[in-house]
Amino acid sequence: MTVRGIDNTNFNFPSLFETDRSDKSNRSAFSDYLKEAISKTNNLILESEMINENFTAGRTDNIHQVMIAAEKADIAFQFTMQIRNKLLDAYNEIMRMQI
Amino acid sequence: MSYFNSLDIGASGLTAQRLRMDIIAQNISNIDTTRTENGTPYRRRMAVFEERAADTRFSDYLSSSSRQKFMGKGVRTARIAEDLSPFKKVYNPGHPDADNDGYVEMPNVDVITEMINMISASRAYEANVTSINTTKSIAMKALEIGR
Repeated sequence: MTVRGIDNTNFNFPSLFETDRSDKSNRSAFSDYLKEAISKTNNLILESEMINENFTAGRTDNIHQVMIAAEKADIAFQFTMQIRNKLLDAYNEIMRMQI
Repeated sequence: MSYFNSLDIGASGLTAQRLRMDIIAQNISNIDTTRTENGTPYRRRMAVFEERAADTRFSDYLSSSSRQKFMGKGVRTARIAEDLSPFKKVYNPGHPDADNDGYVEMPNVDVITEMINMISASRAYEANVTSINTTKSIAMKALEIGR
């Protein structure tokens, strides 16, 4: 049995590289998820404004649609604010850690 | 299913009851109309509602079979039907639309029935508004988890 020394060509860690890539994809997925959630909330608010404008201009007389769009935007915004509070709490918790 | 689906279902109920209210108002206002554009007296109309099933797109089939089935999307108006019961004949020889025997055909609208339908539509509207308000308070309560 010949003993071969360690050289560069023997180091082949494909598994490590794959986990690295999947970690990166998880990180970007989370930030994309946040951005998508905020854009959905924004869309709800814009839709509520548009329905409001239509109603005031008299293009529609479905007053309940106006109210329901406003409630949807309100709920989505409250959800976003709670997420923001949780993130800030986590950040403060980390900053409070004594070194 | 999100919270907003429940709000949309309530909104469809409100729209349907409002349409029913419009039809009732039309019936009551035409209670003495003896001639319409097709020659007959005014026929009482009524709205026929049916359940609005979930959209029949393929992606909705996939998603609904993975989550839950049988979740509709509220109500929609199938059609506005005419009441086929016979007209009321009233003896009124001096009326311009009287026939040879002196009878005038009046619309088959009964004001008592329409008033009761109006009360029913109003209560159904209020019930839908209550369901929407309850949905919103449920969503707000969910935000208090862990506070």
